[in-house]
Amino acid sequence: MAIASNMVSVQPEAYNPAIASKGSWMGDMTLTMEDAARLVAEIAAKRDKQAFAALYRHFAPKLKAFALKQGLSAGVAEEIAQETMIQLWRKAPTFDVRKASVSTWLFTILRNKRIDYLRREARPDLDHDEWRLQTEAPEQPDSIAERGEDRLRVADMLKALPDEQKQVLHLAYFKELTHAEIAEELDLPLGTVKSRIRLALGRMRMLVKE
Amino acid sequence: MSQTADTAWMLDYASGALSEPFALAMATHVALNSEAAQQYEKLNVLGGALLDDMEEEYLDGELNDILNRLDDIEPAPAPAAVQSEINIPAPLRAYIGASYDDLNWRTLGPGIKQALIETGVSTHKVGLLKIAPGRPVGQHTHKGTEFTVVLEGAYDDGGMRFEKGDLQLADSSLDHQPLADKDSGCLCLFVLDAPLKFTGPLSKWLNPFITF
Repeated sequence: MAIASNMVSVQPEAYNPAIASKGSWMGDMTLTMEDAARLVAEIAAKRDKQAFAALYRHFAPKLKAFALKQGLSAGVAEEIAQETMIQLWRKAPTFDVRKASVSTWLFTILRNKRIDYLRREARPDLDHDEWRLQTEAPEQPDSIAERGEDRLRVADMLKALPDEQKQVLHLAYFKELTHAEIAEELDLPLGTVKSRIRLALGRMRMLVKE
Repeated sequence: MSQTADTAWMLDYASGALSEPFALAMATHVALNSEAAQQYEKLNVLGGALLDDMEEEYLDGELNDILNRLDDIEPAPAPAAVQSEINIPAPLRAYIGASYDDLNWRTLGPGIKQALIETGVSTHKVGLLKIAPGRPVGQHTHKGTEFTVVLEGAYDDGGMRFEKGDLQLADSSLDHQPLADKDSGCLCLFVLDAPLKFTGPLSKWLNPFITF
């Protein structure tokens, strides 16, 4: 698929997220895990802007949606989504496609950017170093390889979770509540929340290669 | 088998919810312990799956503007190998520099030295504890939560052994007296979100712990 170098604005005529089907509004094919990895490799090899554009069109709207769901304002969410993709551009040469999927990697960059943003808001005088306390996947030296079929099962597993388990994961990832805060929020004993977390993640542990 | 963080706390860390001082302890644990690193990676995979699941959000910016920025952005250099005699885990290096020796060590009691680490978060106390071989820490319980990560050496506590990279979580349900390994002693990172409560005969010695 040829991508014109003279890019049109990402602003479609009458875009309604509720109606538009996934991917279609950007004129985008949905990227598979393998496609995404290949595009990152092209950026790494030759700083390929078209490869970046394809990744951007696929991931930036999702990154923004994630950040919005976490309660950031639209402007900040978009900025963080952009900065996350810029980080992908910077780090592409050192990204190991065998160790983690691009989605996992982008999630960790986004998470780190958001933490950094919130800490900077709270204490602007501190010297923040975004890599300091949270690595980006796959920087763990003994990382297990993330297999394609495992990722699909994770996605299926998520959908299949009982509501109460889905809820705790959503509160963790989207509301950044600690498990203690989740217990308060839901007015549940700490033990109940911990067991829901364990059950939800227990299924994943079975699916991801040890 | 190593002692790794509780699943719920690891989730707090991976999701980004964990406070900075506890995140420092967790990051150190993950950097030193491959089992913990794997747990952490799985939670990142879960985050990636949640990201994939998102419905696209409308973007205000122009793709062209981003593309134009790219030329000026250099690829990040590969992380430099760190030369140091004792290898300080990367997360700690940002807080304490290249050497444990440069810290301000205070003697708290026989065979026990402490160096506090400034994180800028006043609600938590963070520091290193150096315990001589065979020495116990004073018997204590906790008003809040205590994280301990072994950096060098080992200690025994209530029949469990904690070695380099292991993490121990303790709260008000635990009243304990950890004992440093009789040969190697122990160097640990500790993080507290509330004061300790000394319960043994040595409590008078360890008053400094109580001032939070």
